[in-house]
Amino acid sequence: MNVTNAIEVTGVEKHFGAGASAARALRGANIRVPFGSITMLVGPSGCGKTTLLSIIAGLLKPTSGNVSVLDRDIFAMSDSEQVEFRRKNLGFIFQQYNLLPSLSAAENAAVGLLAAQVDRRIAVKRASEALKSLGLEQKLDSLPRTLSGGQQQRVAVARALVHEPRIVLCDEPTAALDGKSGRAVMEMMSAIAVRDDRAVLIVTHDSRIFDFAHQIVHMEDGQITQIEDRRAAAISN
Amino acid sequence: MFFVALRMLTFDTAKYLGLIFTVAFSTFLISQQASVFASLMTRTTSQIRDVSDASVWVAHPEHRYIDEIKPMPESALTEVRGIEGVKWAVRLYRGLSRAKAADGTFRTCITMGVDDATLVGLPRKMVLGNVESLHLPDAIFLDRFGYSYFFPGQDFKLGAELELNDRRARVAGIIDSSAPFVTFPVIYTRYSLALTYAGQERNTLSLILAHPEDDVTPEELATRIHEKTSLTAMSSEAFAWQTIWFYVKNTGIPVNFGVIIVVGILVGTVVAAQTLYLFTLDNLKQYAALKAIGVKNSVLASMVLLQSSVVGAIGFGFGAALCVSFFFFTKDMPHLRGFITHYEILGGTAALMAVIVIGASALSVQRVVGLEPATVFR
Repeated sequence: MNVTNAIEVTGVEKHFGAGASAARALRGANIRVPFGSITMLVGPSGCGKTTLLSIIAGLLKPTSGNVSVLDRDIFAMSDSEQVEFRRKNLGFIFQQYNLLPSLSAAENAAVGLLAAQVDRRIAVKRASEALKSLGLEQKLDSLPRTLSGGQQQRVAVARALVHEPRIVLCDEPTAALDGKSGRAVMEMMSAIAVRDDRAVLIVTHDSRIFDFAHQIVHMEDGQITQIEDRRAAAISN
Repeated sequence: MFFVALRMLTFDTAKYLGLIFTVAFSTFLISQQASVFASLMTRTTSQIRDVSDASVWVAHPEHRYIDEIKPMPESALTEVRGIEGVKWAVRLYRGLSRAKAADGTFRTCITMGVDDATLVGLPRKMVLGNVESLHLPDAIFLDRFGYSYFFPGQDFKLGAELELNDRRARVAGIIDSSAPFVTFPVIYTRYSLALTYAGQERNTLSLILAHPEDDVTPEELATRIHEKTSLTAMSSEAFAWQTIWFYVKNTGIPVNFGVIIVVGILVGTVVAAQTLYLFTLDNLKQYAALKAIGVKNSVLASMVLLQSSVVGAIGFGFGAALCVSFFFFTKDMPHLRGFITHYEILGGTAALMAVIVIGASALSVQRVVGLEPATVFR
């Protein structure tokens, strides 16, 4: 079977609470994230972007609908299978970086490998190489609090990519960065994460980085309102 | 991931030391107070424990504990000696007498009169002098703390004199007796001499010390003596426990100490458990990130347990060391002698701290396992 989409979301609903007071965060969301692309999920605050991202990551269970990631229904998996699947195939970049303050940059970047029980020395060595490729060779032993926002986000990028996941999920990765740092992070993402067997899904408000998207999915009130295929647009132009 | 857990634990030095201090404080509070209580109760049996030669104690049926003795007639000794299974039986006098030093220093003393011929009943630890010198005229043995009461600042020396009931008594030996419940000086002398130091009473035989034949246990012998003579007879251990229970039932000491110990346990448990739990809550965001990245719940639970165990072990170590140090440095203070660390109590405290650590870990693990990793996106 030739699978072209890394992620397929069909008719996903998510309600918080029950009865008349239930909040409908997602109302039948449908999206497809093709391999070899960067897809951006955009829309006003509270429209359900982060909820959708959490569901795709398997961190939040939908009320109804289907979610297929790498051609697998993640909510049909047991909890431990889900954790294993996430650890192997997904990389995360968070808005607040979520680096562990007690670990050095190299150790932080190695956390994904450590979780996979890779030997500590090997994990840190591989993470250090990833950090060097992101221009942080001078900061391998630095603690997060001594790094700038841009540097911390690069450590987070290294952490997300060091175990070579097939899908990278990002939540506002450039929101806390200045324009230059934000673009630098996105250039790295484009260079490292976008390959034929990989995909990147980014939740963002930051219009400065829209240029990097191959597909932009617009959301409003828990619904997908528009999907812009930028590749197709580029070809037709 | 264990090194990550340890780094998380030790990263904030102030918080880490705070956790250690909390567990150490709780350990100290519980073990020190419980040891003080146990030591105080043990002190009530000091004269019983100091007799190592005999294993059965015989007393008047109306006695209640060692400090409240009703003397028996001399014929009681003959009766006891006649019972099958008694290897030997000797007299023991116990009473209070007033002693005065040459400079007028006055103290009430516990006076023990041991069998004139055999000297059975003497404590075996001599600080100065030898056991045989108790046969000398007017000879008494004084315990080392009693010596310091009567002759403060003076080196131990034989030949010093005291006046007991207007009679001369010469210090012929200095002994290391166990600390009594009330810190009276303890005098040992021959039975016949003890009677001259005491006021005259019709009956003077305070206690009888007996020892069984080789094939008879102390308990069996005590039963036989009681059945044949109607006197109270019990093994040394049972006699000591009778005294302890007298204090437990008839004084406010156990209630007051019990309250302090229970409060100590409650405060220790609540403070230590809460601090450990709050430490995990402080790190929930980090655990959520690890969970999202793909760290299994079992690994996160192990991390929490490791952190709690390290804090528990180090904190207990410091608390126990503090408790042992307290008793070590106060052991030579006259009013605090006999107060020691009871290692059974330290063992119990260790078990309690382990329960606290495991309980706090269980609560923390529950939070971490139930944590929604999606919170990292909020």
